[in-house]
Amino acid sequence: MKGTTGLAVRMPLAGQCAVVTGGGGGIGSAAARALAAAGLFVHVADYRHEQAAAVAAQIEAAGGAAMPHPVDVSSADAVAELFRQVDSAGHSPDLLVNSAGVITYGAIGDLPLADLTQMVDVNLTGTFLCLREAATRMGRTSGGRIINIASTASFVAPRLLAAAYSMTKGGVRQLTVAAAAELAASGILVNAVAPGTTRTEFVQGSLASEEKEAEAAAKIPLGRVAEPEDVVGAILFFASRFADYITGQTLLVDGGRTTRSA
Amino acid sequence: MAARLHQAAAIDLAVFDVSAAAMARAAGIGRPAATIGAALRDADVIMTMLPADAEVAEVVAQVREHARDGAIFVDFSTVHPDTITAAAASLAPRVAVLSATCMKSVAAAVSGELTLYLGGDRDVLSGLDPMLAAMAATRIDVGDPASAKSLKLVNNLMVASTNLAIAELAVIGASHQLGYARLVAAFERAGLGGWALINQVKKHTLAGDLGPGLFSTRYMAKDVTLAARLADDRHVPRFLGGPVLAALRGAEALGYGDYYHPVVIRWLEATACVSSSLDPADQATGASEVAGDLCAAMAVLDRLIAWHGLDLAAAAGIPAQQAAAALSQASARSAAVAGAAADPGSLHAVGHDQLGAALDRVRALAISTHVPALVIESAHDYLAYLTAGGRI
Repeated sequence: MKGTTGLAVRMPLAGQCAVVTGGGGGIGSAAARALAAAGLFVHVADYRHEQAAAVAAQIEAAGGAAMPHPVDVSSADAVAELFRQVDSAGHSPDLLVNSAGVITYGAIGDLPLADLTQMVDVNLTGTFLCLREAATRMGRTSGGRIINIASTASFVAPRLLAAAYSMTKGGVRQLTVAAAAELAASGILVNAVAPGTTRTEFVQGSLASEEKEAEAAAKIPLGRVAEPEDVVGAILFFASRFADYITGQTLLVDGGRTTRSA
Repeated sequence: MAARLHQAAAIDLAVFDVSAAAMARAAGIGRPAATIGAALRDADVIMTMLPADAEVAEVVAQVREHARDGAIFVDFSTVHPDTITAAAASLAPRVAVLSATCMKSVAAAVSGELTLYLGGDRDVLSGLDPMLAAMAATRIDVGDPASAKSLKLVNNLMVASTNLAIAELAVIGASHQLGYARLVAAFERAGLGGWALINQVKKHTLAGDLGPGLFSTRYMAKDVTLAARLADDRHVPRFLGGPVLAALRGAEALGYGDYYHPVVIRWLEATACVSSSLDPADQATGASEVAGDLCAAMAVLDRLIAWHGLDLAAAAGIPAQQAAAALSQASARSAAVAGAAADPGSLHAVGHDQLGAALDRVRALAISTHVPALVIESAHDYLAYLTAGGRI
């Protein structure tokens, strides 16, 4: 790569194939659309079938190429089926964006066990299962990129009461480190993006009024919450050749929120 | 096609395929050629039916190398029009290039009942008429070689769009306890859904006969991808190309890649969690009103699909009325297309507000039962484009 600093050379994503879980909404759908615009064939996977279909249709209408898949990432069988479908389409994943996630807010003492289990199953087990299926295939080719979606809650206490969610996202951050070390020999780079408060269905309630949004924004040095598109740049960076020598890292995309102690 | 040609036209036929299995299947049809060069050398007429643009370009290079002066090259492949234009430029003046695209089934190819769009020099075409007549009951001269390719792509985009539109409205209806059979009957009585409603939805979808063996989801996705590329290249919106490709690829993901392409309804059912086994007799109160709203929306979609198809054809250099006349003789035919063949202005006879209102009523039905409305949303986008000055 010496001497090849041109953007086109470092972003040679056209013709590649990406799998984006949680691709039906929020950060996942923004990532799916951006990757398709960069020329990748995008497999849009989401347990909300209709939203995966809608995002795939938007991508196709905009001139990209996408295939929608219904999948519950917490199920090993469903994840295996997802990747079998990718195989059947004649594709081998070059990129996986592990964006599927759920959140339940609540104090530690009040959180129902079912909600805790669901967050662990989707955020942590689901990320692991998809990473494993993708890595198996990438290992047979010339490697690939895996980008996990962590959170500022992987580093610091969350803004709202969400200790269990924070625990799962801490796990995603650590999985990123361990998987990066293990998979490097196969040419697979594993990194994570850790968004702060981002305007998705996750936080709709906490941004429901101007006052609430102003309160959230006041804690962020850049003075506003993130849009899903703000997170996409970091994903494209990790997917690109600019990140050829980076693995096991988690990049905070939080408007500077974690620079403050309170 | 080779078998039919061999049987019905008294000609010396050489046959070549890169696939040994295909050559084995062609045993007894003409003379097998050992190489493509052997097949091309001394041929007066060269006919090709190839999978995609790359293969056509590759064979054109072979024709350039091996064909004799004065030979005629007829490509039947469904490819991008620029590919055949490039072929004509590459082979001129030594070899005349004609373009043909086929419609109907493998059975029609065997019985010589295909419909062909034909493009190229009229005198050269008429010289081949005995051969083409052996292959096709309906032969439509559409002008230049590129037009034959463009119109096939437009036709298939329209057919796939109509199928998805019917499927989406049927699934929305089913989510309101309106059976498929009753809705299809209502569409038929109102003259909606064109050829696709009768020959695909009624004959195959309602009969549960969508199994492998007919024009597959995978092949249709290839054709619609080409049509979408044509739209991009000619600066026309993809319109239903977006949802159609999502649906075809979604159906492929669910294992329906080799099934007849109207099987997209099974994908929609899975996406909407709606059962296809709804008993047509089990109608809820208000089903008639739902059927009325769905018919009104289908009328709008028929109109917009025709509008978009003719817009795309026009952008590809085929006048709207000529395109409508050609499409009226193929599987894209509908009352809206036939109306446009008589008077292209007929598509503009209803105001955009009225069209949008009919779509809005069905959008509300879809939202109330959490059924995806990909076609309806896309139609709204297209209406907005037209309202903003989109052309035909």
